[in-house]
Amino acid sequence: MVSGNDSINLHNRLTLFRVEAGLSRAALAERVGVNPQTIGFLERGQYGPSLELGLKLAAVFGVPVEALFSLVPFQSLASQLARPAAGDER
Amino acid sequence: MAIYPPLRLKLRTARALSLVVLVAMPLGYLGGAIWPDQDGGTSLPFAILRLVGLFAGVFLFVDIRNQRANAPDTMLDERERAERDSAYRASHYGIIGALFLAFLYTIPAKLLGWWFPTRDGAIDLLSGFGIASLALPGIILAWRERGEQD
Repeated sequence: MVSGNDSINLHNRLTLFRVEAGLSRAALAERVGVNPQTIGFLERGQYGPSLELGLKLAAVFGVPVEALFSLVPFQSLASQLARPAAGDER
Repeated sequence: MAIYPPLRLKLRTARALSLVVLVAMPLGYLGGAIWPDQDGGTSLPFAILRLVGLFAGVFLFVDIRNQRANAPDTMLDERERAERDSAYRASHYGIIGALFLAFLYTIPAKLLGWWFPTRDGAIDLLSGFGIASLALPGIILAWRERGEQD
């Protein structure tokens, strides 16, 4: 953990978006102008990005920054998919 | 945004060298000062420890991690800058803490007649302290770094 950065309670879905976009960490890092290791730290939640970096990352995937980062845990994809399926069965 | 260091050690190697520096330097310099040889110089085992620690420190100093610690802001991304600043703060605390303990030791040492270094011993101790301090930010960065597979 990078001490000195207080955003250790920030949740993210960076890995999900990156993998869906077919980007490696190195490719994503190059697009936003950081070291590939930084992407790893971001994905593991060990570093909270600055506003500028957060916006750059969101722009890569074409989503609002709130879709990538959140102060509360994101719902798991499995639970999100299970609910509509449970609703369809009724 | 690239740093071209003279040396790019594997993470495991950098960590091993950092342990060598942190063990060999204090043992070599402090031990050599406390237990000089018959002529008042540094005995061979402690001299060897000092050399080993010194070379390990030099390798660490030129490694990318310490170079990153000394790189200008424009060559680092925001996380690397934050890490560098954090490593320097931790180094500062470590150095200040060690100096404080040393000064604290001198008070009872003077009163109770404990061991005090000779002039040459004091110069050796300061040298070892200085060399270890130079490598300290890189050591901290090496231990905080995550491996490539992560």
